[in-house]
Order: sequence, then structure tokens, then C-alpha cells
Amino acid sequence: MKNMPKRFKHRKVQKGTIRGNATRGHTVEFGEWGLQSLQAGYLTSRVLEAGRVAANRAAPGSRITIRVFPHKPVTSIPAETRMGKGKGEPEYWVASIKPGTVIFEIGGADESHAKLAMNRVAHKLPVKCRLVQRRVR
Amino acid sequence: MSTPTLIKTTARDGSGSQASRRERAAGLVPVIIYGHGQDNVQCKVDGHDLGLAFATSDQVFNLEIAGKKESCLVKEVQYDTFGQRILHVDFSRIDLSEQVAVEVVLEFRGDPAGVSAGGTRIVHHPKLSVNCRADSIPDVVVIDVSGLEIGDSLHAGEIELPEGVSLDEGQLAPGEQVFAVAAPRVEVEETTEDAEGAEGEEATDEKTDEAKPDGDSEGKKKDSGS
Repeated sequence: MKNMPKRFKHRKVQKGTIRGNATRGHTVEFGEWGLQSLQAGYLTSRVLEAGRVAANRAAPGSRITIRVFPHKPVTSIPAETRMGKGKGEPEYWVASIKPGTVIFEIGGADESHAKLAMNRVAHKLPVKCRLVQRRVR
Repeated sequence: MSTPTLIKTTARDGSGSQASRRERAAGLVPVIIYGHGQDNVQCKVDGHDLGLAFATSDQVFNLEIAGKKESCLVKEVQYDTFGQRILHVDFSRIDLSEQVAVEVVLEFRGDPAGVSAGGTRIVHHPKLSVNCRADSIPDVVVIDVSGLEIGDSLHAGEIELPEGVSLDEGQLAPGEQVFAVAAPRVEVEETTEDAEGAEGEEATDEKTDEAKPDGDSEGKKKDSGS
């Protein structure tokens, strides 16, 4: 399944700016460990899929949750194209990430496997991340 | 229950986000105390002392408000984005002999038999909502899960609670699953499919990438031709 919206209102959207820290989606909710972003950035659908596969391989049988979704289309114009002729065509989809956003969560795995899996995922991502544990108190 | 930790408070100069920010910058934490039909009191607490107090499992504290000690229950704690700094705390005045509704941490001890057979342990609720006297709030409820096989689950109503502590059924139904050992998922096929799918996608993407320059060259030819 391709990781992109089933339907969308607009094919192309403006870039926008990523300002401030995350005010929601910054706590571990579904698993016991999570991977929290320390930087703002865009995560492409391919990166998220690569992370999911890496986590599943590092901790088989665990429950992986992806907390973000690539809602934003990114366009590009082909190489060696002359100026003008309007905006490029949508090429891929990204999730816009603010610092503090929990990107991946893992549950049902022991601590060593969870840490290993999240470490493998962190290496796939273009943002600095840290491992966080679910707050119970 | 041991004697509640004493937290000293001082009156706040002003209220609102600007004043709160100034106080936080000075290492203080704005707090509010309410309940028991009395007026709300907005005050500030030393952040370091509060951090030390919250490092314990206590939920009831003695707050010194204008020279007077009051027993208070922590109702809500707000943390910053990274969960490292306390931004604000809500305290509710209580009588130590009254019944209160609180959340108690569950500690699952032992390795379930089902997990060693390949199952996955799933914690649905790391905390349990209970009703108990304010002076006898348990620090933690320990549950032995070593006997659970694959497909077994533990429900909220089945948990043995200490004397005087009862489940808050308004918050959590007795039939709600708290802990379960799920059957192992068929990961091998799924992973291989995913891997193939991912590789396939990559391959198709590479093909499309490779195909693009041709398309561009065609466009270039057209451009040059025109």
C-alpha cells in the first residue's frame, strides 16, 4: 500500500514554514517506547516505510505505531527544463514534523529490542531523534 | 502512608501567560490550588523542590499557603514539549479521610508463559483508576502475569486491589482488558512481502527516475526543435 492520502482537496499545496515546537503528538500514547524528533523537517513516505520495515525486522512480533502521516504533496520540475511553464507536478508525499513530535512507537517488545528497533529507525530519518519512554507517573 | 512531603508556596504577583513565563524563567512553577468550596489560590513553587517532590510516587502533598498547611492532591501536571520541565500544576484541596479518585501505576511482574512461547505482551492500561481514602493511596499495584498463556488476558475487574481500594468503574469498566498476551503475528511472510514491495517500489521508482531523463530529452528535443 502506498503511504499517501486516499483522496485530497488540492493536488499541490504551498510549502509553508515549520515554526515552534510540537504542542500535540509529543507524548508516547500507544506503545511503551517512542522516537521523538528533536528537529523540524519533512519525512517522506518512503522514509516512514523504511523505518517501519527496519523496526519490524529489529523487533519481530512487536507492535509498531507510526504517529505521523504524509499529508503534504511535494512537487518538482524535471531536470533541464526551461524557465516558466508553471509549477511542477507532485512527486512525493511528506509529513511535516515539528521538534518534539513522537514519530514512531513500539510496544510488546522488551527494552533491549525496543531500543535496538528505535535506533535502527532513527538512522533512517533525516531528523535528530531521541528515545522516550511512556510516562506513567 | 508516610507523612506527605511539604511544599512551600509563595503568592504570585500577577496572573496570565506573561507573568507565568517570567516566573518560569526565574526557576519557579506557577500552581493553582482549588476545591472544598474555597477560593482558588494562584501561587508559585520552586521548580527544583517540585521536581524532587514529584520524583517520588506520592500523589498527596502538604502545601504551605500563606503560613497555613493544607493537604492537596495532584490533579494535573503540565510538562513542556519534551517532557522535561514542569510548566504548571493543579492541586485540589482534600481531607485525608475522604475518598478520592486517583490513578495508580500497575506493575506487571514476571514473564508470561505465552511470551516465551512466542506471544507478544500488550499493556493496554499502564495505570488503573481507583477510589480509595486519600491517606491510603497505594504507590503501585503489583500484578503477577507469569501464568498467562497466548490468548489470555487480564481484565480490570480481575485485578486484586489492596484493602479499601476499589476500581473506579466510571473511568474503567471491569470488563476492560488491562494486559494481554497476543498470538504471534505471521511476520515472516509479511516482512518478505513488505521487503519485496519496498524493493519493488524502489525498483519502479528507479525505473521512473531513469525514464524521466528520456522524457526530458524528448522535451528538450522538442524545445530545441521549436
